[in-house]
Amino acid sequence: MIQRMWQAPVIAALAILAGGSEADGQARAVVIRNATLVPVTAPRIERGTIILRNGRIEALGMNVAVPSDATIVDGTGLFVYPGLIDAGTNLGLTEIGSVPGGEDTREIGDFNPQNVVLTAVNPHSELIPVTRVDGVTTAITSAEGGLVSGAAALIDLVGWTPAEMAVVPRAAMVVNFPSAGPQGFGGFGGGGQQRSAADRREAMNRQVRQLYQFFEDARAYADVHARTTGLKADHKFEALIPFVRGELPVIVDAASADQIRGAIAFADSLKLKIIIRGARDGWQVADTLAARKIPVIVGPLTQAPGNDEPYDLVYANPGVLAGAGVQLAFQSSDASNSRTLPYHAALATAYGLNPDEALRAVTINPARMFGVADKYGSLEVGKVANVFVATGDPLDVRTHVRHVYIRGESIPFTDRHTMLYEKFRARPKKP
Amino acid sequence: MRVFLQTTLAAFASISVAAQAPTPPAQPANTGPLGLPIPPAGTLVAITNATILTASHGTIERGTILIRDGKIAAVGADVQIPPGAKIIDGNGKYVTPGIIDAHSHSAAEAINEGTESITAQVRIEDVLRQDGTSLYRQLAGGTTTLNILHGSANTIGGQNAVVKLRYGLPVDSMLFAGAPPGIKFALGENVRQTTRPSPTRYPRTRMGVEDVLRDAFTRAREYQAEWKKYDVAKAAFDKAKQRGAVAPIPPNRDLQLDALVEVLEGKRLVHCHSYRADEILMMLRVAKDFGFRVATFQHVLEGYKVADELAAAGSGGSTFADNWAYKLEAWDAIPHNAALMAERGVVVSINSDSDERARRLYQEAAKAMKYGGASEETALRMITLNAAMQLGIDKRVGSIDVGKDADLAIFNGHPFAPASRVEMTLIDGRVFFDRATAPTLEWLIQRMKGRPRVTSEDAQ
Amino acid sequence: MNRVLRGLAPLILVAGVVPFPYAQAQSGPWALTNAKIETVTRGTIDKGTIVIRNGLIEAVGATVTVPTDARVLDLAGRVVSPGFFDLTSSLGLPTAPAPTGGGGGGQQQAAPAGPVGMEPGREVASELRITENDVRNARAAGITSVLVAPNRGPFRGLSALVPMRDDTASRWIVRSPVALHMGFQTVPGRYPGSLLGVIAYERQQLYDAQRYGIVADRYRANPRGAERPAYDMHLSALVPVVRGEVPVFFAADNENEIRRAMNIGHEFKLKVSVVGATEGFRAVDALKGSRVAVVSVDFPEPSATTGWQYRGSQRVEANDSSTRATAAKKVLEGNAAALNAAGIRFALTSGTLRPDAFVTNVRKTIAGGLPRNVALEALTIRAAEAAGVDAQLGSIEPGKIANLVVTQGDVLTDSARVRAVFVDGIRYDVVPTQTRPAAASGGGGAAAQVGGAWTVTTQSPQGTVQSTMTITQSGDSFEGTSVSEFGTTQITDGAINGRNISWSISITPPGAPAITVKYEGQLEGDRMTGRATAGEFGTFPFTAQRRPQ
Repeated sequence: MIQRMWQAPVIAALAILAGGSEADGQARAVVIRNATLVPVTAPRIERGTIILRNGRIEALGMNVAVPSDATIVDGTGLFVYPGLIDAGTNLGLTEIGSVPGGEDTREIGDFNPQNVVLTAVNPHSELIPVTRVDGVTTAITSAEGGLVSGAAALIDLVGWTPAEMAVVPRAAMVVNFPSAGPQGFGGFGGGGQQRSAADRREAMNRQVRQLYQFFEDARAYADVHARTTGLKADHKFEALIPFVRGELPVIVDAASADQIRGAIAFADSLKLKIIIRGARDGWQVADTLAARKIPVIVGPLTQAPGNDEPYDLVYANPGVLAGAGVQLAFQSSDASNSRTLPYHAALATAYGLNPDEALRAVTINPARMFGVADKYGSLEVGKVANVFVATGDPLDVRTHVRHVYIRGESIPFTDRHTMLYEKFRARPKKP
Repeated sequence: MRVFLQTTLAAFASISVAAQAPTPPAQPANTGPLGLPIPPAGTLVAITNATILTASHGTIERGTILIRDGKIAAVGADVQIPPGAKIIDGNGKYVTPGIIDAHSHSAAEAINEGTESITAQVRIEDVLRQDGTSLYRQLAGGTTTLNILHGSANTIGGQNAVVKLRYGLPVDSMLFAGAPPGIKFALGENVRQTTRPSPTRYPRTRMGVEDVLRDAFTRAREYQAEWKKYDVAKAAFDKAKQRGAVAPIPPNRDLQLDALVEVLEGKRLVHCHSYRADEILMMLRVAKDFGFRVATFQHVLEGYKVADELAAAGSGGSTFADNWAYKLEAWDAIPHNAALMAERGVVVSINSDSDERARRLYQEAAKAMKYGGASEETALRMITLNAAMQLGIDKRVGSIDVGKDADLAIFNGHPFAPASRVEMTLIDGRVFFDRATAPTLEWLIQRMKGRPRVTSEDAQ
Repeated sequence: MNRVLRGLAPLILVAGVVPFPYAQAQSGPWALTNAKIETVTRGTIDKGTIVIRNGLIEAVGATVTVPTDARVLDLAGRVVSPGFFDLTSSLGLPTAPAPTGGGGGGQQQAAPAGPVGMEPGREVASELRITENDVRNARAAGITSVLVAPNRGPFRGLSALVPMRDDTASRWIVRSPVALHMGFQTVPGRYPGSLLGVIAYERQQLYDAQRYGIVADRYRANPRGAERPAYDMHLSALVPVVRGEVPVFFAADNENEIRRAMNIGHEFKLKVSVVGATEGFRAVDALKGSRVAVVSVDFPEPSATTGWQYRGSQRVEANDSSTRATAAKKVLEGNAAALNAAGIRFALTSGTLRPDAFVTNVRKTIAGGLPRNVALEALTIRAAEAAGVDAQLGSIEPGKIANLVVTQGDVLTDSARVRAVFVDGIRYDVVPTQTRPAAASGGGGAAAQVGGAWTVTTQSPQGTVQSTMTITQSGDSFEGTSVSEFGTTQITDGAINGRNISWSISITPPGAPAITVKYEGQLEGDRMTGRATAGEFGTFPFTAQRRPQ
């Protein structure tokens, strides 16, 4: 019963992708001509052409036949990129930070695997149009707090309903690995800023034990329910079934080296497929992460290091991880400024991250991490038509985005910001 | 490159305190575990063969900057370098004026005296501290001058302090000598304590804020008149020199009203934290009624709505690049704010209001080019010359011009390009940050190689 | 007569604290003979005599005639020095806020009672309730004069100099007010609520006091027809301060605080003695030309000092924290020596240290480079100068008050034992409260007492780790248990050799194998300091404090 509930949005999403979309009809192709195409998974194509039809990339290359009924976009001097993927936001779950009425980012209780974030995503949030006009077309959105915050959703930034937005409705389970740091972390212990180190460590140990216990119980539940029918359902354990079976990934928020190691041990012990998110001290454990092929989402890079840490620790961390062979993605960890995703990556390139790797980290890598690399993350024939056309490198702040297509739909450049800008630009000057 | 390294390492190695430096040599050059080597004075330094972004007169390719006694002595493509100069090889590098952050709360032991609505008597300069690591991080981002403001807890906050990040020197030497004094005003949500469950301090509404301002300045006017009366009486008494006559007693000196009178007399710059267009207009009206100019509106996220009024009043705007949606009063904020205000004639700077953001103001400034199409020159000025103008220190800093202080940031690429970072930061021609000798993650990893197990101790 | 007294002497010496009715008997006149006398101002007399009468020193010298009516104390083998001062004390102050205003209950208060910390007019002399225990502990360390002042807030009050007599009645107070005590703490719940406000508030009050004085004088000279100025008890108390007649003791420890205090002093032409100045070596220029400073030997933790954060901008070595902390401690212990080398005059004081820890730390400053004679001056004559009583106290000179400390051994060495103390010419014996540890040449002498419950604080990279140790000692070895967040574990290899102490424990952090942590340190009274080595994790400093029984 519960399982069927989640199948519906998945079916709906696939239906859209299969081409049954709105009245406008995607049958007419969009052709961007004479641009530099940056496929990401293949070398650049100068003076190339790309054709989008029915929500997919139909063709791309140097000499591509242009259909007669196509909408032609002149790409001279411009660059075409795959839509950027933000691997960590709370888009749709928040509007104005200080107004609690619009906030759905944090639920009560430590264990909420049954919470499906997609449900609460507001497709008409003002933050969404503002984000996609800068080239971020797809994002993971998740809740925070507690030990298990719920199932994150991978969404495209278009759609009239949450179901329509969903690319993968339950893309990953979010786990916050306990820490003994001064920040502690949320859940019920959030208020205790001044606790002693002993108290914090005690609290951390207790939470780690609870986490293990919970997942072990979920695993046992999954085994039993696989063999037997007619048993009473537990909504929390039910939700964890695909994750304890290793079918879907678990995002573990872990910042310090101790937390990361703890998370790896946790994953080993419970045979989970994990993605480490945050990973401020990932550089300390880079070789292990690479050897185990554990993907890492870093960010935001707009954080200060600790007092005794090297001044460029946060900026240089991604370069060290990538250099060791870790598959890297970036998160803005934000909603209102998810559009700054490429600028986090830019900071990393100033401190050792290879620029090509940086671009992969905001396109194909996150697509791989969430199992949609066959449809997202690069300019390849057959993939979903999430592309944008810009005046240059998206990591360069000075670049202007001229066109954005999500699922082949052209995105209007009218968001809250541009409307206010145009309105007040047109304010008549007083005589 | 090797010359660059050798010269900078050699310069760093000499840790004697220069007697001719304008700053007081208050303490020994290196007090061991509790000290920092003081960089040698910028007596004779030349940065050669660099791309110089002057901020005042365009870009100079393959140019040289000659620094003498802490000041820029020459800038150009053909500059003669006298013998004995310390050479910094700028080949492949970009040099900009040191970045000026017009809204900072760093380097102070207290930021808010939030107990009363008017606290014009408190002074940031009384509570400066010179040794926070965040100051070093800001130097590492090319920032050299800070306008340290009182917080936004009160309608009329305290007096500011403009400092240069002369990290490691005593606080008195950090003060920007000759910077015009300023004061912080604040409007909007913070002042009205709207996030508190039951605020009890007046004012709770925006109209209450106006009343607090008007009442304060009315009292200031009365105080000013009292003192003028005394001055007249005292002058007459002195002139008369009557035997046995008793000198008039001065009125009670009120430190709070002193500061407000300085505002009335145009001697103290007002930096007003503000968001909503209507409260900006209110402040402009109050200022006009009392005969002073608001030097800058800070944050001023709706400044674009009243840009003409700001420009007409001669008030500057100091704003965020793209922060929004965190408070109701920031809901109409747009990233085009800076560029649009500038287009309508306002002198605009981009600030940080954050230790963390102050490390990367160069990336923030570039956003003015993206949102609103500001030119590169305008965007660069938003973190250099414009900020200097707003603070009244543009004769000394803000651009690379002969006669100005040698406050410079040396990047390994164009400051607005993605892979650029600061390699060196100079203040008064002294190298206060040098990546070649800084503790970096790369260096830490090298040091840790070969150890059996990495511990967090090593990260310290 | 002398022989009888000499026979009685051991009895008297063993008597310990003498109850009040016998004070007459102990008050002299005395003749202290055959003593080594450190006069402080007039050199050392190797073998001399001091005559005490009516609480004052009548004569001192190598060849002084012993008066016939004096009780003779043969102090052969003993050293006599002037009694020490402790200028930072809150002995005898009430814990609740004291009522302001000197009048009785029925009087109308002219000015509202200020909250604690905002009372320049508060005279502690009228509030003191010093206990016998306090007095005894002070004397045991050789302290004969204590300056009592409140220790919180911007304007703390007017201090009093109290002699460490058993009779703690206020009639014996040596001087009050000694100084107005000021500081930088805020007052809870009202303005000033931040350091910003405190400094502005202090400046405004001082301006107000200047004007108040002018107006009050004007009115007093010619009240007829003039409007009577409002009476303000606190401003009234500040007037002599802004006129330089009453000095200011300004509590300021780190460099910035010292500079801030001196700035206020200069602005209002106050006579400021900086109290604390634990980072004085960083602000020598600010201290020059000021009134004699009062330097605390309550050394701050290195991580709390100006400059510690500079590490974030320097390439530091692995295991830097503890080596740097040790090196930083040396710099802090060398503070007084640095000030002396720069020509700054200062007294030494205890800060928050107990009397015995105070003297121990004075020895550390000597080890840190302060010349021994300068240290002795700082405890005696300089302190008397700071308190404005150098005409009466601080050295052994005829006519000065007979406050003396009699020790076995040089009073400032580790092996010194205080035998007796004279306050106002009254002799008090000192009963040793614990075995003095042997000299620090590593071993030899009786093992110090280490048994009991200890709170151990270890500075690990994960932060401060607290544990409790319970020790049972047998001779020069001990055993016990250690309880911490890692659980309860046995103490092994506990050994005590003179003052050197060492032991090991085994801890098991979560998800990691057990590691052995070896502790090595020095024991001083109720306190241990040393280093804990945790295998490959490195070495960290630790301190331990014995809990009272």
